[in-house]
Amino acid sequence: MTDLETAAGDQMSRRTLLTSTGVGAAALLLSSTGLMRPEAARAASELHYDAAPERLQDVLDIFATNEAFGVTLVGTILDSAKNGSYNPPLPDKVLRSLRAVRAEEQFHLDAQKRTGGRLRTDTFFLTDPHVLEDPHTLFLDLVELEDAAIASVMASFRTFTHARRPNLVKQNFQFAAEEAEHRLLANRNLGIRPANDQAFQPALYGTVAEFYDALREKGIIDGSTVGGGKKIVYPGPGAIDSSDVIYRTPAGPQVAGCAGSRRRTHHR
Amino acid sequence: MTALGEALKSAAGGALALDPEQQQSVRASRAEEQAHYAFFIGAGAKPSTKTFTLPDKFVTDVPTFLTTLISLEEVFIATYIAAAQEFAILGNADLAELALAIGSIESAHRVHARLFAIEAGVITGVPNNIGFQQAKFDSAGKAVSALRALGFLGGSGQRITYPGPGAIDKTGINHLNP
Repeated sequence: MTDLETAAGDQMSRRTLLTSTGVGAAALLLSSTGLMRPEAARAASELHYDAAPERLQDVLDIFATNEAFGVTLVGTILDSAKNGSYNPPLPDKVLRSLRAVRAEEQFHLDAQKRTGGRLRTDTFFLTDPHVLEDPHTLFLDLVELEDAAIASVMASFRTFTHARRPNLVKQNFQFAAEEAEHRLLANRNLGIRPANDQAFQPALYGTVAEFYDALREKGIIDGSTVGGGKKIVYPGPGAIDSSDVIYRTPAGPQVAGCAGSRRRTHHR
Repeated sequence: MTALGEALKSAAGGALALDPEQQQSVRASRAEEQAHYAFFIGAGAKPSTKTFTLPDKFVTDVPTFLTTLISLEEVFIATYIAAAQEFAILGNADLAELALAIGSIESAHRVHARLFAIEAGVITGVPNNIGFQQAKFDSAGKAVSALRALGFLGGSGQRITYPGPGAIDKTGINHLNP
């Protein structure tokens, strides 16, 4: 019996999952019927198996490319701030947080590369010059980009599940949830109150390819298709400062049955 | 959400010195936790308990409230990281996706609490101080032990019962359903 079969057969049931996930909903939940009603669970399974999964390599490549864009974008933002381009100027505490954001995106890229992800391009475009001058435009853009990045990882779980790679679900969950922290901070800097203004992160895409298409439509990828914009090349200006950042790898225990990597790793 | 309701009641009574933005954030977090709870109940779940305990000084001391809240959110996030893997192993991508849709919100709560704690001088550094959310459990069920350790389950503090005091306020909250 494989680890996967052991895990699925002996250790887990929907009842077990229900109990534990209910903890996150601030209550311990125990179901007599399972997490979802049988018909709902069946519909979910049919939806999963009816959908054509994407190529694993494509998903990893798109994630790597987007993280490289993140490093480059935030480096360019920090450089603009350093040159006094923002009106009003970005506060020091915001700049310090953005320096950490940039380092985090680089750690995400490192993880994607270790998994086999490759950059589709190292050149990106900023079609709206106000993003480097106007804080409101900047933070509005960052909220949108973070929502999109998280949604792309949500969409990827279909492929990772189909490929029986729960270890990739874990690793990418760990970085996507960090993007949610970036979103909250950008939303607060935008002036939204409450800054935590979503009960569920929205599922924006059915596939990771749709996310990549959205980056192209926005002009970030292959900006020449929408009239150019400021060209930026990975890793962007300035050194990456990771001094405020801990937990630099997607470490920590995996659930039994996770294939493709060690059972337990340690944070560096 | 029950514990957050108690914190809001304490703040309204002047016993927990949260500023207006902090109270607004906690109200929103409570509504978001209620939305998660309502989803699970709607999907057929039943709570195994509606009674919890409050850690010492959780609703009377701001530094304790914020640092405990950060730890609590980290437990929630780790729970959903484990749950997503378990759902994937079971072949249910939709539930794995849902786990991230909720875990992302708990991550937002974590960084918000850290931001408030930094502004209050309780901790130092940046709010977003981690490259990756921490995986703490090799099964989602291990979260129960972590909640006991924090004093929210079976602790010696005040017993509280779901949903806690006061109405749920959804003002300003979007995406109330997955």
